[in-house]
Amino acid sequence: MDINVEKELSEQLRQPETRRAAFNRLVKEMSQPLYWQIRKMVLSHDSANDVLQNTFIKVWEHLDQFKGEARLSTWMYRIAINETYAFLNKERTESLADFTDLEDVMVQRLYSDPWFSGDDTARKLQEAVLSLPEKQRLVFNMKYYDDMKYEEMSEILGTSVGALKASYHHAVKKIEAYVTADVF
Amino acid sequence: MKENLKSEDYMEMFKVPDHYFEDFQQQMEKRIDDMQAASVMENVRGAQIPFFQKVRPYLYMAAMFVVIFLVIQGIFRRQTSNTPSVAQTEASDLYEEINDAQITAEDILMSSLDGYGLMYYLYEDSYNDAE
Repeated sequence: MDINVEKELSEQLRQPETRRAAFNRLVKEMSQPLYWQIRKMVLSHDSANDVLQNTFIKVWEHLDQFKGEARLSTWMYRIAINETYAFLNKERTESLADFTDLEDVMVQRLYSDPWFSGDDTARKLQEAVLSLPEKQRLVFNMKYYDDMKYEEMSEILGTSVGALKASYHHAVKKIEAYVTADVF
Repeated sequence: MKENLKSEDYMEMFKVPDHYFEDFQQQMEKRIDDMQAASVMENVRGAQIPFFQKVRPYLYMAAMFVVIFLVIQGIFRRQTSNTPSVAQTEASDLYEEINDAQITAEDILMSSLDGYGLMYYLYEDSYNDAE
């Protein structure tokens, strides 16, 4: 979202009479980037849809807490990430009750997901990404797929640029090792 | 690896239902409408509730405590009226002891036993055996 549009929306969201219209525009502008950020973490469309709805509900409920210190989109990304973590934790708890590993469940779901059309190589890459710790997976997704700047990632995740670079480097090494180990 | 799979490729691979984002926007608008309507209804309902109805649960609770207090107090009063107090019990016991002591003293004083008679009374068995 353009920074000028963000500033304009931030101002409109503070005024009760323009808040509702500004929020509708916010949904229109931000639903796609947030959806894909969430989808890369939860993989299934239905889960991503649930988390996205929760994210916008949280944004609406906590609009008063947005003081404009960070960019509106940064604040929304943080909420989306927190909601994603909460969703994954809930799923992990449920899978633990069934004595299964959440990442294995997610891989299995990928095979039967009607909204996934990747081939075996793509599936193997997703398995490799799923083998990463959650935070590292998030860093990998942001950098590898979205080509986000480290400075922007640092603002969203609250982690230093150096730590993010190291995390991404380790993630790439692990994925390469995972994929090549399976090939040979 | 980076050249093979980028954001666009990812979106090709992970599909979404047709018109998903348009439908999502409408869904969100409806949900926010519903939330606002529910919030307004709650405020209206809160304003319409008469004062007595608002405080009624607290009054019931206070009345319940008063009843419990009265019942407990009644039970205690009943117990204290039926059983003598500790002070009263001790005084009556002491009176009886003094009475007993007086009788014993009178008996001793009025007794016609002399020293020999007393010794005989105490060691009657030994005397009998000796005889």
